[in-house]
Amino acid sequence: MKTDSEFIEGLRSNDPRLYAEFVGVFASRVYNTALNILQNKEEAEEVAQDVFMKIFQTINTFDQSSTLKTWIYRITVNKSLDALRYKKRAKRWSVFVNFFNDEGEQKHTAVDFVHPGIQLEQKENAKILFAAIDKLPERQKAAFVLCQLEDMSYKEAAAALEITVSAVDSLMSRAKKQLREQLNLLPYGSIK
Amino acid sequence: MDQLNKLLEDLNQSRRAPLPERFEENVVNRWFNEVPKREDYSALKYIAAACLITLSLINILSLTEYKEPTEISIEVTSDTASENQFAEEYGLVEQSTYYSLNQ
Repeated sequence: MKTDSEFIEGLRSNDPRLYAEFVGVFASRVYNTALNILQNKEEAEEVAQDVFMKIFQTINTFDQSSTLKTWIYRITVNKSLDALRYKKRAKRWSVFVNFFNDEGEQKHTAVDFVHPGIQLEQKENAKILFAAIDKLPERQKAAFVLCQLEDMSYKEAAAALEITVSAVDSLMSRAKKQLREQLNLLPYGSIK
Repeated sequence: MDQLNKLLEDLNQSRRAPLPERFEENVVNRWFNEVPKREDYSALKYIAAACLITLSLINILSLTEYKEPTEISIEVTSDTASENQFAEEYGLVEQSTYYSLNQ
């Protein structure tokens, strides 16, 4: 695999072969991070594409104060959270519109999310977990997705979220506490 | 086992979602479409910068050519502060009240 410097130089010089290789290396991480935060396949695909365009547009300003991977995760998390906020605003607005118009179509909700990477026998459990993750505040959700689902260290997650390691630790503790509280509210036997 | 840990353990076995169909191809195609736009944009940027520099130079040259020395002299003398002169200049000499008060 190419080093960060090789990728950066290649992207800066508009090298098409290197760009294709770069997309091949990072596509799965970007898409899966967006998917875990947004819990919607179409939106995650759109955000992931936007992330690569943003990388291409801003690669010249990347100062290499962090690793390329961290920088990419930062862009992905920010774009995903922006999309999430936009979705929430649209949802609020649709409630207002539906108040006056009964024919308003109910949009997809994250509770229905079935992770496409999960095996069939674990899908029910995954659905429960993702429904609980979706209720977390956005910063806790971002920290949880990076540390727990993307296997990043607290240090890497801190760099990606531009916060301190102790702040990540605190977000993770609160996220786990909240998730446990939500799971305890489920009827007995829900989790197999 | 804690419910959360059990769910996370299940999830850890397989959780990477496959990429959507033709995802990488779409990203690269989008990039190819963007490249010429970016070059056009940078060319425009250089043209705009050149125009700005030319205009600034014309402005500076025209200013130096027509510049004429202007001298404005303002005299401030300490005499104006004098009470008597102030009174004379403003026609206050006649006013007995002013004088009587100051004497």
